[in-house]
Amino acid sequence: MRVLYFAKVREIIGLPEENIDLPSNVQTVEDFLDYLISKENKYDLALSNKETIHIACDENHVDKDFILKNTKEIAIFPPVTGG
Amino acid sequence: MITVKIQKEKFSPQKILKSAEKDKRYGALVSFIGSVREETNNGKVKKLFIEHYKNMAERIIYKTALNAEKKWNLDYCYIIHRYGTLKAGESIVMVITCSKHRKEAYAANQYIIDWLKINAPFWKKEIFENKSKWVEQTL
Repeated sequence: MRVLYFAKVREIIGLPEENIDLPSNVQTVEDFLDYLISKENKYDLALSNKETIHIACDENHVDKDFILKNTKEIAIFPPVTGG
Repeated sequence: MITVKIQKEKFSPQKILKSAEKDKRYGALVSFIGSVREETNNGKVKKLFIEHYKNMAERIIYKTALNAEKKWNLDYCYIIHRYGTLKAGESIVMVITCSKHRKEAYAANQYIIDWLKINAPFWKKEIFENKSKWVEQTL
């Protein structure tokens, strides 16, 4: 799965994007965030305050209980501030 | 008719407005322009950096315009939003809505900019003389 990071999340993780194979126990967005947080300190730093983390799957905003099964691209970012 | 533009280059609101005014089908035109402020609570802004998620931003803005067009029966809707590095005073976003009567054009314009602020994937970072700070969402 293609994983994109934006703004502050991108800066803390130090990457704009990467490819990650979903572990078999990861079903939802919430599971995926927990998986990343447990992976490395930089993900923990960027994502542990989950209320401030927003997610889009294949370019649609989704909630944390969204099932990732058919997702090709997930974007992880702080609340948007355009306009 | 809907036009959505997301671009790095500077734009001239006056030129865009002039071109929109040529269309004589509508009786009301409302225009909103959002610009880079020179000063915020954090100090004097040198530059504003705007990051975006290209495909999603285009899709969300277009969908928002389409909803507005249907709901308020708009004759014309033009939305432009910049990304990249902007200087204080430069325009970030412009929304033009045109309809037969003013109420529809006003309502549609506010709907579009409000929806864009909550949903369109853009992130602003204020750059000061000695520091920088990601802007936090204010609704």
